[in-house]
Amino acid sequence: MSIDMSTKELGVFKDSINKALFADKDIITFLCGDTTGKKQSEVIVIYKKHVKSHLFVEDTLQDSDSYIFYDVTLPNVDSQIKQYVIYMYLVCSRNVIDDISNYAGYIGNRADLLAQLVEHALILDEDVANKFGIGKLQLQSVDIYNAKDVCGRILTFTGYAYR
Amino acid sequence: MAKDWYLISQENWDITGGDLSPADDFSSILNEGIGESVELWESNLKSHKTIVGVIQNSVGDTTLKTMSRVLLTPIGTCKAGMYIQYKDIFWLITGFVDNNTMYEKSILTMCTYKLTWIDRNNNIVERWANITSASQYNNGETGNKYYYVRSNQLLVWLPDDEDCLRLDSGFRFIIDKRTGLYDKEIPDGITDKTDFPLMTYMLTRADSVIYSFQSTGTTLFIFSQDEQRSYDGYHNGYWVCGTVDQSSEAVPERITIQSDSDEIYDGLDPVEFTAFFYDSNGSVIDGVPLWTIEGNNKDLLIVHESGVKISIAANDIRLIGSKFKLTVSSDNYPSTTVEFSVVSFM
Repeated sequence: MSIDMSTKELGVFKDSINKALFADKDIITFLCGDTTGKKQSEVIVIYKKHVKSHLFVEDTLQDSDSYIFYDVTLPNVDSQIKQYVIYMYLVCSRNVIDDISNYAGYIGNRADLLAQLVEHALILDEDVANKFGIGKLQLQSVDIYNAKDVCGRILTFTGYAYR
Repeated sequence: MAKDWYLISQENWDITGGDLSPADDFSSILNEGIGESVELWESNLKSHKTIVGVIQNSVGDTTLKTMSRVLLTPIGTCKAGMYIQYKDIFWLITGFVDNNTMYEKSILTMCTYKLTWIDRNNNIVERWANITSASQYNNGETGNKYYYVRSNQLLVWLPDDEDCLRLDSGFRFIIDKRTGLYDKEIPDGITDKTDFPLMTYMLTRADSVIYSFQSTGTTLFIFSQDEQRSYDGYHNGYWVCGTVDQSSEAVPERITIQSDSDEIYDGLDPVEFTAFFYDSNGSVIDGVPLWTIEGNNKDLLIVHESGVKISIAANDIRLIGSKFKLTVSSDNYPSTTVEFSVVSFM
């Protein structure tokens, strides 16, 4: 009998996060602009420029835009259950962060708006929240990310899965 | 001096009692300078000979009259449907050729275009033709709400030899003087070129008896303009449309499959594949596709067929990395296969 690897959820969770964000029309419009009339394959190309499955490194952004960087860790793995943590960096160029103040019924700068959109997509959507292991995905904390040219929010989600 | 009123010389003016017949008189006067040498061609343009005759009506007062002549020749020289080459122009003998016991008179109609076509035996046939408009005040287009098609019609006058009589509805022709310009643009060694814009026509009506003089005669056709097709153009020195089989009796030829992507993202929207059915003219026609999918775990795919489209989605991580073959087939068509794979959205 084979034993499931502890790291197998890393990719599966990332895939689920990606799909959940892509399925949210408000996030797509926020990041990719108006995609009316575009084919899915065209939208995916734009989307993948804005959403990355790894963490942000300063001085690597070329455009004044908004981005989502995320990664998954497994800080505790015991014999039955493992804890996972999703770090999500919502990064905006300082050039554009204050150019809007409300979107889709939410209020705030670009990073604030993006944080609310992501929470809505991953936590408030029950179908999505239940795809992450045991129980629902939990939003653990919301921090500030502050750097020279960019700033934003760091969302930390936690959850548990069977080992 | 007008040739119509040319005075026959005294020694040949012998109709009322000399030894020479009137026909002999005419033959002899042709050699007195009144006659002109012209080439008499068989209707199939395969052989010709030089004859001497009198050309009348050379100086017409209207455009149409300048395109018509009268030829006087010794009796038994010409027949309707033959060609006269006069001043390097081909003229079709269109009227019934009869005589007055002294000479015979042929009505010549100027040929305006040399038609070329491929007959049912795949032989190239060429004929000079008199072509006039059969839709003079038509604006040349037939309108629909969304597109226009050309609707010019031509009246085409040809001999009634075997090749012409065998022309049937559906034969197509290039009738376009620009081919003379295009000839200069075709590089040496090029045998086929089909990217020049051309005026093409299809034979839609044939009248073989209106000017039939029993053993001789000419034939009238109506050609209707149609759209240029993929084969129409320059082939081995000739400007021709496709054969009847290639142009008017199109047959199913191939199916293609088109889609936005050959990658289906697991968990995202389906990818739609569309079958396009083409006939031998390259036109898209209706067809009923039969789709088959090959590959491991194909039953996990979410498949929906509608008309000529099939949409395929994946929503199972077991499918990620799988490759599939999608084949479309239909009666009378060779099948076509494309490959697609299911990938992670990561």
